[in-house]
Amino acid sequence: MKFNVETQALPYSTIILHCLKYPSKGVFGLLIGHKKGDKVTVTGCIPLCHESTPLAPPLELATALVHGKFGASLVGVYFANANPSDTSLNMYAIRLADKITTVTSSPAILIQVMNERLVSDCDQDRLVAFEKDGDSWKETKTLFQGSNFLRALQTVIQKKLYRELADFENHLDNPEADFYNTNLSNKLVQIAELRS
Amino acid sequence: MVTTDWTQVSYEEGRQTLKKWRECGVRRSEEVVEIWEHVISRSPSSLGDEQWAVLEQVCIASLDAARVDLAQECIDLLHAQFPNSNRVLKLKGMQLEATEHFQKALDIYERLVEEDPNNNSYRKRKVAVLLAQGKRLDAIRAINEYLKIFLNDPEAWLQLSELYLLENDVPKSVHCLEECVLIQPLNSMYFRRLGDLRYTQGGADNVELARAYYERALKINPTDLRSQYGILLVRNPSGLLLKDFQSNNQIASTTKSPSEKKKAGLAAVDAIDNLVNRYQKISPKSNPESDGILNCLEAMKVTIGSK
Repeated sequence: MKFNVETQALPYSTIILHCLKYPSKGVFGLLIGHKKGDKVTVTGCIPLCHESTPLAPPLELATALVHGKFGASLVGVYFANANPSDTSLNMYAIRLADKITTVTSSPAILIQVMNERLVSDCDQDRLVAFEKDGDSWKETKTLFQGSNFLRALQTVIQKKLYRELADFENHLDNPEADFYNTNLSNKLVQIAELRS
Repeated sequence: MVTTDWTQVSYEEGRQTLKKWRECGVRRSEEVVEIWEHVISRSPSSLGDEQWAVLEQVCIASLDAARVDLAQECIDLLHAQFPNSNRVLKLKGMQLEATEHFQKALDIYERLVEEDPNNNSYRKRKVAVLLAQGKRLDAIRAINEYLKIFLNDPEAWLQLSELYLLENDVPKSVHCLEECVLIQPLNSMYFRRLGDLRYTQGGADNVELARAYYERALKINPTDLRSQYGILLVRNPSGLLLKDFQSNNQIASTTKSPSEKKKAGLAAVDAIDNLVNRYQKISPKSNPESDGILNCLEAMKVTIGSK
C-alpha cells in the first residue's frame, strides 16, 4: 500500500510552531486524521514532548488519553530530530508508531520535519511522510499546499505564536497548559481566514 | 499558555527577569535577546557592574538565537573591558561554534583547558562541539573522560544518561541517573526519571522498582504531577483509560501478594485523589480540556476502588 499523505494547514502550522518553540531540541507529537482508500488526511495534531528520547510513562499516558478522545482517528506520529542536519528516523518515534498500529489495528504513518528546510526562504515541503513496508519504513508521497500557505505561516511565526503552544510535557509541569491547544488553534484559523 | 510581551516590560522588571534566568540557568534565549534589545540596551551602564554579567548572558543567548551580530557586539564590549580574560575568549569560541567553525573553536578550548585545567566549563564546551557535529559516540567517550576528573557533576551524568538512551542502552542510562541521586539525594526529578526508566525497561521487578522511585519522588515533592501519574501507571488499571496500552508490564500486578496488591491499590487511589484535586482547580478558560481528563480520572478511580 502506498499512502498519499496530506497535512492540512492547522496541523502543519502547529507542528512547525512546536519545532520553533524548542529550537535546540527534538520534538514529538501525535497525528489526528482519517484514511480513505490510499489517502491519509491529517486534520489535527497533539504535541507531546520536547526531547529526543521520550520514556514510556508520559507517552503511554498521553497516547491513552488521546486515543480515548479520538479513537480510530489517531493515525500516526510526527517528530523532529534535535540536530539540524540529522535526517535519520528516530527509534523512539518508530516504536510509538508501531504501538499506535497495534492499538488502532490500522497502519500508522510517521511524519518527519526536515529541520534544514525550516529556514524562512525555503519553499520546499518541510514535512516528509513515511509508511511501514515490511520491516522498514519507506518514504511515501505527500500533497504539499505550496508557497501561498507558507506565507500565512510566516505571519503566524512573526506574531511569535509558538510561545503559546503547549505540549504534554508542559501540561505535566503545569496542568493549566492545554496540550490540545484549543485557543491557539482558534487563533491560527482566524489568521488563515484573514489572509485568504 | 499565558505569555508575556517582553518588549513592553519596565527597565527594572527586565533587569530582575534577566537576573532570575541567569541564576536558575533556564534557556530562554530568544526572550533574553528581546529584553536586551527592547529594554535594557537603552542604558546598560545603569546596571553598574552587573552589566558585564548581563552582556555575557546576552552574548550566549544571541548565539543560541542565531544572532551572531549581537553576540559580536557583546564580545567587543566585554573584550574592551577585560582584554586578557579567558572567559571572554570562551565566548569567542562559542561564536565560532555557532558559525560551524568547529575546529577553530576546539583549538581555543584546548588552549583554555591547558591554561586552566581546573575550569570544567572549557571541557564541557569540547563535548558540546562533538554533539553539534553529531559525533555521539565520541561525545560519550569525552564525557566519560570528563567524569573521571569531575565526578560530582550531575549535569554531565544527566547528559550522558540521555546519550546512552539514544544508543538504546537503558542499563547504562540508569547507572548515570543513580550517580545523580548519589550527588543530589533530595532532587525529586532524578527519582522520577529513574522510575520512568525502570518502567520503560518493563518486567515485574523493574515495575516494582519504578513504583518505589515514584513514591520516593512524591515524598520529596508531593505536588509532582508526573510521579502521581507514574503511580497510576504502575498500578496498571485494567479497563478504562489504559486498556489498550497494557504493555509487557501486566505481569507486575499478577505476581504480587494480596497485601502488596492492596497497598499499591491504595497508593493509586491516593494519587488519583490528588490529581483530581489539582485538575478541579483549573479554570476552563486556561485549559478547556481539563474536564475531559478529570472524567477519565474519576472513571479510573471507580475501577481501582472496586478491586
